Amino acid sequence: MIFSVGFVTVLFLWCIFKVVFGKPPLEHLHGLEDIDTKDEDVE
Amino acid sequence: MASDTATEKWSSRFGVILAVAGSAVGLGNFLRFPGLAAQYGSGAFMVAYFISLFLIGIPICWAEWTLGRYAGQKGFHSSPGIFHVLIRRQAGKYIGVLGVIIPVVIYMYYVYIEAWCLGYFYYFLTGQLDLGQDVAAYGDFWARFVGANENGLVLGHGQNQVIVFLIIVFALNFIIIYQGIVRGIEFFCKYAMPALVVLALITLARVLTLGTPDPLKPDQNILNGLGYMWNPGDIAASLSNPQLWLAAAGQIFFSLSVGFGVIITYASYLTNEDDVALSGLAASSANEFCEVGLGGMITVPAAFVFLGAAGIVGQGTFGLGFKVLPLVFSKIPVLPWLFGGIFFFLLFLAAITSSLSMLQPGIAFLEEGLGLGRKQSVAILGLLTAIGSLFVVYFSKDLKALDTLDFWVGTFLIFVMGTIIIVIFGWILGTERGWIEAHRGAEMKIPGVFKWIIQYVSPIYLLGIFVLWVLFNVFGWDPSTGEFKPTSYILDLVGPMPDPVARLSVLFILLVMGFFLILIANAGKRWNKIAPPSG
Repeated sequence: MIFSVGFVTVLFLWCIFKVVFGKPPLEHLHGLEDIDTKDEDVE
Repeated sequence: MASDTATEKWSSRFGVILAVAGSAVGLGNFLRFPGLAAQYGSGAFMVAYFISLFLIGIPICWAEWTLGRYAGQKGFHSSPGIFHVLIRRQAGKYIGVLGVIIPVVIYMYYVYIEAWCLGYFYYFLTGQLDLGQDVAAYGDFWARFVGANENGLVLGHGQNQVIVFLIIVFALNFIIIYQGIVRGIEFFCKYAMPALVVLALITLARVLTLGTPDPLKPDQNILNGLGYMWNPGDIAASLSNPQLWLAAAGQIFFSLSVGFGVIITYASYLTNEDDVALSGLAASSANEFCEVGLGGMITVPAAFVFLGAAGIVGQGTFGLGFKVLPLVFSKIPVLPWLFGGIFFFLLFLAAITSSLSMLQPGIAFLEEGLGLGRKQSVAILGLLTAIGSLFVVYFSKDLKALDTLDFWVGTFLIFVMGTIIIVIFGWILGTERGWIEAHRGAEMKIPGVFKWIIQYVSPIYLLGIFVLWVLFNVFGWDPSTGEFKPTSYILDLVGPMPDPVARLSVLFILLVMGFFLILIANAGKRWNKIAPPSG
């Protein structure tokens, strides 16, 4: 129990730490400028 | 136009991690996993479980995230479109049909179970689940509630409250999915997932402080409950049981939502520089924490404290969740209705964050394949899934339709889809190219050994597990005698006394597959202009 629960808890906390304190994510960079037009079938 | 809707993107990294984690965290975390771990002896089961996690779970997860983001940059978000751009053969888009029908068909019965959770939450809060001390009473209640005694029961007069809950959860799912990726899925998961963890921690705290509720049964205490769940037993002997490996690998597949076609669709809404390595691992670790750290500590220990080992053995997922646990929570000394309500609302949140993710692959395909707007896509998918759900609800006797769909789609096709994904990553995109793609914008370096695992070990391991699965669950192999006796899933279809509901269920799957294949053929004409196949 200690190994299993301890391992997943430590892994989870490590991931949260890396996500929160790692390289700042490019938040809110996805606006309408990212519109991907696939409109190539104009007849 | 290929699509009249702008391509959406996730608004934040936490949003996509919580959405993927929400997809993964479901009923299996709190009901299926603890039951399996206790059944197979937790020590040995956890060895096989963690090996499966590292050899197939996390590698396929990274592969799905990477392939999804790669195809998303080329304008494809649905599984057929993604496979079209990855495989670059005419057949590619047709293989991708699996990534649509798996989540769509699973949604059809999963939403029914979700309705049970909401119903039990309501019944606990209103005191209608205080049925005494006999587990049989809870079994009867559940059978009546879901219509397990007779086909069409819940659609006729009499016991039909489950339909009300089904309509509520069905509408809720489609209202959220209609809002789109950011305002719908991401917004909902940002609140639902933290709430789920808080509710699970509250329940866990209550379970761990149960002590010895019945002084006349001093052995039934929380420490022994944890011991029953987690004591390792004879690990070496248990590991020689192939069924254990099958159960552990199946649980990893089902739990992480790999092979569903969901992660690959979600990842396609990332930008080219968004991280996939750490995000993929973070979503997987969140699921593992909820499954092992929370699910493994709550259900079985709580059931042991009140019922002992005899009350748990052989109950199965539904038995544990909807017969045993309602009795267990009703026995909690203080505020049983509150803790029962909290637990079933926790299950409901876990279920709805998963069912939402099952709708997006279908929506994405209708939008980009047929050029439909979201309103039209939601309407078509809503109609299709409503028909499927009514099929499941009507043929409710012994839950035969639900069980058949779950076996052929929720288990068999998931193995097939998972294998295809890992082969595409390792052998079609190529490990070297895949590795570069996976590390684009990455905030962690994936250990080099995983390059070797993804290319060789995962496909072989998957193939081995799949062969075992077919031997046991299709051909009914008994390793002790070496005899083969086809299982009920086969006999129901081609045995001397076939089951009409099982046959109808398989026919229904084929009809849904045929429907989407026709749409894919039509969509392919549009896609060929964007990304022509090479062969």
